[in-house]
Amino acid sequence: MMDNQFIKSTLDGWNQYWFASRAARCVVPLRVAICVTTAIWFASFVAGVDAWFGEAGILTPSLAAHLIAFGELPTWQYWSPLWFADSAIACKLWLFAGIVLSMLGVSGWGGRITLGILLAWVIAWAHRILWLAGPSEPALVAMLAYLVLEPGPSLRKCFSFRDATLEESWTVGCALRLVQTHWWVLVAAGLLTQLSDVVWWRGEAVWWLASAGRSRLLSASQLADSPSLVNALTHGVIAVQMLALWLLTVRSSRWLGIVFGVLTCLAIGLVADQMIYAILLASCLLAFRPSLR
Amino acid sequence: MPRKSNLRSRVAQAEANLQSPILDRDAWADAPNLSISPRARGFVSLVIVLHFAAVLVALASNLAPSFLQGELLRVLSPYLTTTHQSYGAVAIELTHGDSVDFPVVVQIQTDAPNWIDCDQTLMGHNSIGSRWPILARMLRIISVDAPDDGLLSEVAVQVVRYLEHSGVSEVSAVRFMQPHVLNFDEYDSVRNESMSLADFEPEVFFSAKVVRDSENRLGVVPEQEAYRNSPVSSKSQLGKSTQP
Repeated sequence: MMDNQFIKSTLDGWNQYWFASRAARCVVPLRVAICVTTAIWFASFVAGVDAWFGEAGILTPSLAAHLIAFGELPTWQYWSPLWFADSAIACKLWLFAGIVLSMLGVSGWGGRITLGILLAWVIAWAHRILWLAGPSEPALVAMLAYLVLEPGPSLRKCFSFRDATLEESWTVGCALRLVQTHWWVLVAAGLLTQLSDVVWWRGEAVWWLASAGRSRLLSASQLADSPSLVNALTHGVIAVQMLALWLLTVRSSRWLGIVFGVLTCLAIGLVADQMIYAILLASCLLAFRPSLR
Repeated sequence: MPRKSNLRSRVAQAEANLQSPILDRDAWADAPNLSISPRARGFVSLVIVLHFAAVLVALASNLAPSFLQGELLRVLSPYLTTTHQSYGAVAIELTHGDSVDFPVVVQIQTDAPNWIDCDQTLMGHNSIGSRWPILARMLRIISVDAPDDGLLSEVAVQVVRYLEHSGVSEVSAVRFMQPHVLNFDEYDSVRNESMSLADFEPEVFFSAKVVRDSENRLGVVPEQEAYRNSPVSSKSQLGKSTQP
């Protein structure tokens, strides 16, 4: 009897978490933010296209083949139409088309079809850049995939206050939960990886970021007089991540968790230099809003 | 009495009307309104579990995969790689203060024998558009964990080709160098002038001569470390036994 109750409550909790219906418009701010981030991501490559993919670019298809072979994986898994059109012009067109698709995604025009094409566009570019990809690419692909499940109504419908935007669906709740869960997993993985090295326990990590020129905000000269500040910032980065992860799971403190989530993103983007990753994670925090039905 | 109860009920009704069903409740807290069939729920649940299991394997393997994680990644790679969910030494930890987290500078020699730092616009590590630090990190990891002169050579060739195409005069040698990143005490010593930056040797983890064939196609010949070179034999010793 107790076991049956436990199984039933577990299944009810699972269903409540993943399949509760929500109003379609709940996902619109999230979609807008993630698609804007996608546009920024595409735009970030434009300045370096000639250097990496041009006529005398560094990341030639032959070098890319060597990198893929080094990873001992089949080449088909790195599918991309750009392997067949290797020129700076093709890459620039791909990037500009990606920006246009992102803006269409922002507007909600085309719904799932637009977002599905955008998802494929992002993956194709991520495969072409190969070892130039950082932590933002896998996260961006995942978030776009979740939005394909439920993109929400278009902005035009939202601004016209149509009742259709209040229609409830399990896909809305599921998409939001997928984004929430993935965000939590990413930040938790980053935190655990940080704590695997003593520099974060000893309060030195921010110094290494600044001294190596890997901090957007801080430099060694700014920190040289304040070892306590270095320690405080390092421990603070750990603390805000822990607090964000905990408070976001507690319904009553969800807004406080979002505040610490924003601080986490500021740490990743400014104390370190992973700006696009930080922007993406900040966008995903919109999924945590205590939403309207 | 009837008037008071009427008044109370009317007040209660008015309050109920004022309360908007939309604004009043935390939507996440209420009992689920499940609009999905149990079979579809089961299928979607399975997909969710498998997806996040794969993502967790990828993230857990990012830093230093075990043999088991390597095998799991091999099995999951058709999903993880094709959907670009795979990780591999991605810097989700921001920094560990290791050499792989430090900047890599490409230096070249042209006509003059001194080494020149390459254009930092490409190699710069504080630009939102620069991807060099990410590639440099991977090259540094390879040089430490799985030295592959062939891969580093090919990157070097492409870098030289790009630089010459950008207007740099003919390159005769190229190397990947990591300047020494000062720890807190070292920085203090340099600032106090008790030490100088010249006291800290950079680390060169790849160095090569640039060669060109008859059709002016580029290649590089990596410089071998001294212990990897065979000793030069004099002609008088050729063919003689090496036993004492």
